[in-house]
Amino acid sequence: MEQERFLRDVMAAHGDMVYRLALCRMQNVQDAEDVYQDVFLRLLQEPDRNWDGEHLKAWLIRTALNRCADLHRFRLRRPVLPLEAVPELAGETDRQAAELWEAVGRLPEKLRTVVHLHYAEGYGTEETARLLGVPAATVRTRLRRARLKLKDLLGGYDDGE
Amino acid sequence: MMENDYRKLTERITVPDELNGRVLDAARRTERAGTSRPAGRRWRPLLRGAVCAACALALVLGTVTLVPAGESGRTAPAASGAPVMSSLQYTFGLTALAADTGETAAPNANGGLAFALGMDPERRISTGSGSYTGCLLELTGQGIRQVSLTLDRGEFYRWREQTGLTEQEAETLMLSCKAGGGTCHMTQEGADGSWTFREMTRLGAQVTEDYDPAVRYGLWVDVPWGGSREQDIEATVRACLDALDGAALEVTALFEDGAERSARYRLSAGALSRTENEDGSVSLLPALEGETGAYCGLYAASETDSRWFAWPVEGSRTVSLSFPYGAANGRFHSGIDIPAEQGTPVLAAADGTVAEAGYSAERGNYLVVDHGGGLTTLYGQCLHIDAAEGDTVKAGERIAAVGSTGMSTGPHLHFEVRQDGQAQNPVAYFDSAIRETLRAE
Repeated sequence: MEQERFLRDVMAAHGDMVYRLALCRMQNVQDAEDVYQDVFLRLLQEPDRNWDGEHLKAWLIRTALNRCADLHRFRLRRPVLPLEAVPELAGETDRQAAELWEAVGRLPEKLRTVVHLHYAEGYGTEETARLLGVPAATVRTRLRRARLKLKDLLGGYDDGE
Repeated sequence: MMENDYRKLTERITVPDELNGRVLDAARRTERAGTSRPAGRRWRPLLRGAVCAACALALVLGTVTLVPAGESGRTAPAASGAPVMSSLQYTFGLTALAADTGETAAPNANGGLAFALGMDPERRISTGSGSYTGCLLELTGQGIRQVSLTLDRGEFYRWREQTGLTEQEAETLMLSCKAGGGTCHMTQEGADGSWTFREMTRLGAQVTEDYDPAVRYGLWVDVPWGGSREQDIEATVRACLDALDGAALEVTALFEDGAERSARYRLSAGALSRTENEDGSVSLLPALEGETGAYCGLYAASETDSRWFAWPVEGSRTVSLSFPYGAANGRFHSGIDIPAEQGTPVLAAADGTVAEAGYSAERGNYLVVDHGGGLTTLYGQCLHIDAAEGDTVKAGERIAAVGSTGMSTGPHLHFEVRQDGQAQNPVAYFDSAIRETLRAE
């Protein structure tokens, strides 16, 4: 089936990226999976979805962020996702890595999103700005504020900036 | 290096094994069910705008500011026109502000209040029984003892947000809020691990409470949560707006000295256009037909403080978009242009006296009418002027003829409204019956 193959291909190429972003935003495995499913089902509803790779990736990021915002509507509380809850990271013994994960999880959502897009996905500030629909200067400000906060949270941890 | 560490960490995260399979299953099911996108296209571009505005204007508040008279330069426009009781110590002023960005919208000199619909899900919530719209009203001022609010459709809810709390403090607030039947939640948002507490408690269509400056009142409507898909959210937002269209809102403040002040508003739902005033402040006003709205939301026209004008050109109901009111491209246009045939009668917008009649190279033949209370109108580019300085004119009386006598490319009336010498968007001075007949092109 043509549609199914398309979906398989896109999930193989970009699935991890979408899942990581959702996990970073939601800080909850169940919610991240819901967002993930929603994003790809919505992709099938798009009338003309045969964009080139970068355009497709940008669409996936935007849609994932929107879905995250929707799902966030009424949480009793939003704790930081403990490292142990992520199977791949459960065995992490490096204390610094665990602290970094928690520090990023504690960042306010706006800052966390730019940190993830910039550092984990390697988007430049201009591209991040386009993805979020905010000026590039705002992205740079958020990155700066995020770095300051991270430095604070990590107790003067040298981020090499 | 932090970026490498974070990247190395996240790169190890992969999609859980069974998840892709679940998505494929779900895709097969939806395909069989043959889902189609529901209608509602007309609102789409508008709501896109609203979504974009969400970051910038997560909370556009209609703010009713209550200030002791004399302490502030601003007094209610109507108060200056109507006889003011000497015992009245406090008056209303109006401002609208976006709490998220700190952007303040200029006080609409005609008493109008704009609410953009908050799209921030933390602040606008739909449940199975209804929607907390995120349209909030804030009362600020000195000497307020008690607040009463009345709404003839929908209800009010109490909105409170407290940040920088310890977990214990937030828990305590949660318990007392829940005991009072409120909807509330707490989140750990601060980078220092501090907690934020938010409360939304339905209060009914009539509220009388002791004044608490930390409390804001939101509008609640009987529109249930429609689903999490984008089109469902849009439909919910649209239904929320429609539910409040035409509603009457009354705000009364009781002051410590026993004085009482009220403001009454009539709400209308739709697109709001954004214009920048001379001082850089921003006004949100209902968009005219043919005009693109920057936000969608509610406009609350003041029934107590507004002064309404008659349309100043006979026949023509067009407002030119080629040079609209407001600041654009480094220039400021202090009025609106109303194109019409040369010689079309120009009518006085309201009762008043002719303060000035003259000629300038830019404005051509022009005429200024003083309506009292610091409110003046200016009619420019006239072919000829049919009134003299000092004349008393009635609303709708012919005072000039449309021409193109100044810096102009075609016959039109340049119409300006000023409050205390400050240019205002003239659209704020036409009531909804006139606004609905206007076209921008």
